[in-house]
Amino acid sequence: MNRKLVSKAISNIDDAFIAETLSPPGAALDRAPERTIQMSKFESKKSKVRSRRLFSLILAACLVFAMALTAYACNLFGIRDFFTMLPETADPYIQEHTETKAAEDWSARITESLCDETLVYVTVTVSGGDKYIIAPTDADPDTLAVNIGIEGDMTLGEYVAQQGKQLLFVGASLEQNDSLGGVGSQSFRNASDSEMTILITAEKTAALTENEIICHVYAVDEEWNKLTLDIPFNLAEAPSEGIGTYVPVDAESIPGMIIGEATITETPLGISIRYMETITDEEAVSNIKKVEFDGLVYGKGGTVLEDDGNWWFTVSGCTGDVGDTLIARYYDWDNQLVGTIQFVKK
Amino acid sequence: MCLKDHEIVELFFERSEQAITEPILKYGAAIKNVASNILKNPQDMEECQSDTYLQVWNRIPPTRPNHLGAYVCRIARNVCLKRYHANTAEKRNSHYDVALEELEATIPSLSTVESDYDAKELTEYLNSFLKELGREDRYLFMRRYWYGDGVSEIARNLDISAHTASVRLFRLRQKLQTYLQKEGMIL
Repeated sequence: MNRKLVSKAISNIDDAFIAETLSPPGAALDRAPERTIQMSKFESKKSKVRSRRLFSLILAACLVFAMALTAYACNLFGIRDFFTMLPETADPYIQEHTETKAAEDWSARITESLCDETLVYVTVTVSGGDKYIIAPTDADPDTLAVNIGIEGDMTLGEYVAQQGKQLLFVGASLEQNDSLGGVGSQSFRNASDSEMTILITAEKTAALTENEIICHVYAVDEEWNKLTLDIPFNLAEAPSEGIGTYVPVDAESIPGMIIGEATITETPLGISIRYMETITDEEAVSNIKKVEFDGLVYGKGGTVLEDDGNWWFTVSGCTGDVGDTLIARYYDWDNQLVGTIQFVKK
Repeated sequence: MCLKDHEIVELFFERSEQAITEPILKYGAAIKNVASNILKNPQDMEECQSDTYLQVWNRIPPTRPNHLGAYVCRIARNVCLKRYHANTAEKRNSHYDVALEELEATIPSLSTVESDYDAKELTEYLNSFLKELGREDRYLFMRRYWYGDGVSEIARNLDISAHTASVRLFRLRQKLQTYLQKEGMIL
């Protein structure tokens, strides 16, 4: 069947189903869904899109408020609580933290961090003490309270009224710098109605130039007060082991591109492969759908136009073994092999 | 605290600047999620997000959507797909590719020639199929094939294992295939 037709049919599915599935069904939830966020950046950045600049300004403006301080004890979830498939080799590199900042009636504490050459994970636990029920920023009083682990059919608004407390919607991000990329995500898990741990995932674009990172924890209360806590903490990068540089036997064996040398490294989070693709025929490249490596289970990644103006193919978190030879197979939209490239260790 | 959908729509009708910030506060994360499932390039994601808000601003009024969340997510998906099709190097390894491939294998051949009419008819069958499912199955199906989420992410949100989610998705695809066969939509 034609892929475009399936795509078109799926695209037009009824709004009611799209709206209903924005959040997970309550019955099975003690964890809210992952939300992708834009990492905050407080220095200027060149932008070609006027509207993009406008929205960035508005977002930044929303974040600048302050309150006085008090701390509360936290029930702490860590990074591993959010993953089922994190390799055990990562465990020694999970750093524990105690950095805490507090506002008048709520506080936030960095609990754990994990960082390799491509990814950063940070957990931060937010506590609302006796005053606040803590919920994610994309919830509202009509959201079912089961989203923060409260059994039953009550909404957050009803639950808060019953408890005689107030709602505080919170989220967190890492400040973008020379090492941290502009895109990240956050996942939420409530330890209780007044404590929530946020897992922040951020892309790392370069080796850490400085170890101190700032975590921005932001909150909106029921009176529309927007509050932030900035928590500096130190990040340590897990070591990466260079498996080697691999040279393509025939750099032009994939139609439409010339492939450069591949750098392969291994970190506690898996194997990373990176090489440059010089595009010579855009139409030919547009027919390529996926790349597979013999002997490796694919992690995450793909081809991205980087700041140097070149297209780089980068994947990380792969599992398996790399010997002296690496074979990449490129497939088209009909799953037909369009080319195989062999790399040999230099 | 987020405003209710109808209150946000009213802000759009009043051309209030608050109408720009409210959808970001309430649906910004969902829009970014849609973008990251389809696109790989961070700059593309960021620009598509901005384009989405701009389109929503330009369309409301006169549009008065029933489900604002679905409406902005649908616009975001369309904006991202447009960028995806225009950007040759994006067409590799995204969740979107893999999910679409699964579904394409489930619906192997139409009984009629492929056309816009067929797509519309298939949408109607999909809507009927979804209506018959339980809420959790509907969540599984929609998150995988409309939002393009990864299986492990869906599993995490439902608090089930990735294996269980995969098996349930497989059964759902089988169920859809049987349903479409019964309706004479596929051979």
